[in-house]
Amino acid sequence: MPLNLGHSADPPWAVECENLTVSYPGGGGISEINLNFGPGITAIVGNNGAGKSTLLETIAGLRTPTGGRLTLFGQSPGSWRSRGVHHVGVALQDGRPYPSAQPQALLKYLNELYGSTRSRVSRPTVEFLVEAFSLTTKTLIKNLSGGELQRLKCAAALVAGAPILILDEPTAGLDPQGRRDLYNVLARVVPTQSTMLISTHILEDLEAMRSRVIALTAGCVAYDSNTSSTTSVFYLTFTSRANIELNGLRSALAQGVVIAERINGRYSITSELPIDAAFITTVMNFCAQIGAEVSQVNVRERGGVLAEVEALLLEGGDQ
Amino acid sequence: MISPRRLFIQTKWEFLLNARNSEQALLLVIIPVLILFVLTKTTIVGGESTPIALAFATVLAVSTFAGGFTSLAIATAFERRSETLVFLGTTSLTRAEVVLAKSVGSFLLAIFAGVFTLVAGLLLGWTPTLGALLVPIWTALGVFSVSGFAYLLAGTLRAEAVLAIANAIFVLVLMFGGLIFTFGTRVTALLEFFPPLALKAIIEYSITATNGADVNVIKAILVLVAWGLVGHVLASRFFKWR
Repeated sequence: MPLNLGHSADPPWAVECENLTVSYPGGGGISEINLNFGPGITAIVGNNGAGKSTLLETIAGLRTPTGGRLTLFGQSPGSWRSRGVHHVGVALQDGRPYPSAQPQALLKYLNELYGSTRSRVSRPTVEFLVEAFSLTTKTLIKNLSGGELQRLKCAAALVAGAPILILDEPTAGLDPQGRRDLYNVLARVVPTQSTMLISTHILEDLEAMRSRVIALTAGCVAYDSNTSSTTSVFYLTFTSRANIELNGLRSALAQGVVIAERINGRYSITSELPIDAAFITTVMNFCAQIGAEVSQVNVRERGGVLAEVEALLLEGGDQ
Repeated sequence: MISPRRLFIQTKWEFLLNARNSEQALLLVIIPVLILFVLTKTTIVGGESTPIALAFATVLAVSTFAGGFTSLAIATAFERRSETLVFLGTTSLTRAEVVLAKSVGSFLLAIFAGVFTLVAGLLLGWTPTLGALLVPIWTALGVFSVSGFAYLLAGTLRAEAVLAIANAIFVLVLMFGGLIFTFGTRVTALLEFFPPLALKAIIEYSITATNGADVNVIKAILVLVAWGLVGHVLASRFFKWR
């Protein structure tokens, strides 16, 4: 993801939070959040009550900060709004807007509403969104399934052509296939220059998104993959005949790998770089050349963003 | 800042959605037309039939109250429950545009209902006067007088409670608002300080009188304006968007 380092000559961040605080009378909210978001995908993760929705709804202009500062492209959301500039497309977690309308009618109405709105990214047509999100149904919104409703909300967020896109738990209630489908559609239709913030509590989603990850606990930033030095170690284990010439295998592979024969005929290769198909092919080709048949190949990753976030969330529990 | 273009699009959307609702047809068209027929063609109320012009004023006041208060309160309450209002907060619409579009949509619904009443009135033998041209203005004032209280109700109570209360108030207005059944002088004088009877008085005067403004009409206009201001001030203070 392109990173803006904040030099004065650089364009301003799409979203800049400086000590951003939103407090509720009964407790909760977010506290002194310092985050910047630029083009690309950022996943906001956290347990229930961690402040994900509060952060996203504040950026969306639905909540008023009780402290700190929030700017969109260098200016306050209010000043953009007063000039008729719409910067944020939002799909909220809860609600079923206009339940007695049809999905396509809602999108056409929103398209008309945004017709004269100035935007930094091109607006997709309603026909394109209906096709991409499979919203050709004539069913009323109140009767849509969970998956259809989530797709409609995402399409409604996109129809504005806003450069900042906020999707609050877009995969809530979807099965694994439904989640994969939604991310595939988003990857296809969201312009690359968009700043997309997605909240989720499903860690598997992070693998699908390959994004920057921010974990919130108790309204504070507990982890940011952009600023944390989390590293992964990759392991390849395989079975072959005993006593393979390991120096020869070391020469065949890139430097920085550690190879060991654990027990008779069971080998382990440790790498700091991801082990991909080419890596495995090199190992298999080398073994084939020396007449050693390879079986039970297994690749694992230890550490990394997922492991760190999972540990944080398990530690935090439900807030 | 209110954008006339956004306001127009939002009003059109709200109006079309509401106009397709069958409950609105019952509340705004069927009940008023039924009342018009009962008042003019039967002696059920007060032992004698009501002159068509007076019945017409009554029915317009009823449909204006139904559109400006009952329908608006129920629709807004359910939009609040479905988080449609929060959804609108994420669009380019300002809050003022959202509220204004709802009020103008209710006014248009009342006018829409008024057209049906007009047709029914013509069929029942009413001859329109020049003063009838002012009716849309009085309808707008009538919607203004009660819509603030519709927002107040919708923005503070659960949707199911609003449904029950708004309908109960509608029935109370029909029965005891002085629109259909007449009461003694003292009670009527009191009811004239409430929007339904004040609106009826203005419309009745407008479509029947030939002279200049009457002091009672000016009082009725002031009553509607006062209720409208109080209702909107209270709504802006207590309305919760979610």
